[in-house]
Amino acid sequence: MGDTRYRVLLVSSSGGVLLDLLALRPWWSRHGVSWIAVPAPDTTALLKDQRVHWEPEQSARRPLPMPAAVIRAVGVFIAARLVGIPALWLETFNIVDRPGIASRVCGKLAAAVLVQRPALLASWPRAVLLGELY
Amino acid sequence: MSRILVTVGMGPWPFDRLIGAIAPLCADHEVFAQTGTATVRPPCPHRPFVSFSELQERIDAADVVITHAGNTVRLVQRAHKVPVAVARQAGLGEMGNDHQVHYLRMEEVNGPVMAVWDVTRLPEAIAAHGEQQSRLLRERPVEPAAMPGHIIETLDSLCARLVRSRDY
Repeated sequence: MGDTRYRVLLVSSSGGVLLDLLALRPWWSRHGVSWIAVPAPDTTALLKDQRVHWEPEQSARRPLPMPAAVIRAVGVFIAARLVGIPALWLETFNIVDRPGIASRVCGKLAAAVLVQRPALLASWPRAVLLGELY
Repeated sequence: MSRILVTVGMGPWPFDRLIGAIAPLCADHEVFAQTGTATVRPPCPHRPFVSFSELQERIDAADVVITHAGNTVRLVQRAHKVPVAVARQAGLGEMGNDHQVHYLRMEEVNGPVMAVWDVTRLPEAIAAHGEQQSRLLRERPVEPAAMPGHIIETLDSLCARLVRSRDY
């Protein structure tokens, strides 16, 4: 195991995505971590001891081309590219075949895609198998 | 009478189809429902959200867990129980896409789960649950979760390679 201490930014909505990222705690607890999260009952409770930038869901004044959560995620990946920081996309546990729009866009922008199922290794040229997280 | 936990996750989409369908169960069983953003109220004790620790305690204490086809399916299976799962459908406004449908179609073939596609048949699923659970747990063991050491080693190795090569 490496001794390098990274500064890690974790970006999460509520629900399964949050549980997946919390399951990576054995790794990120050894590094310097901050979060971007949407305020929700589970995020506020489970991240109460973390350093979090809360980003409220904003109601759109006109129809958006894709869900707000996807726009947020894509924005983070584009920003990471612009400043030269590797960004990883973590595919949630119950994605089994066709990735959603967030996966398709962010997966292409990602330096690597972390998958929990061996069958998904073929879906991404830069896939890395983590195994089931919980 | 069974002790039944119903949970629909923490997401922003209401799952009225499932919460509305548990009413017949409430008459015959001890039911608690985590209802999320559902706009219908079931005739049993319920709350919109519960903490993660409370959810785990309620999973452990339940005879049967009825859940949306989210990651809770695996949480229930890790507790050595067979969940009764209902997939959210994008066409009904229950989710942004149909990944729960794809997941549950696969899991009902390979995993220890009872998939319910017609929520009016939930009472039948509950009646058959005890026998089905014994069989499915015996025939369909769940893959173990990744060990912490593996997660650490994989991510440390990946990050070191990316930072060193700047190939991103």
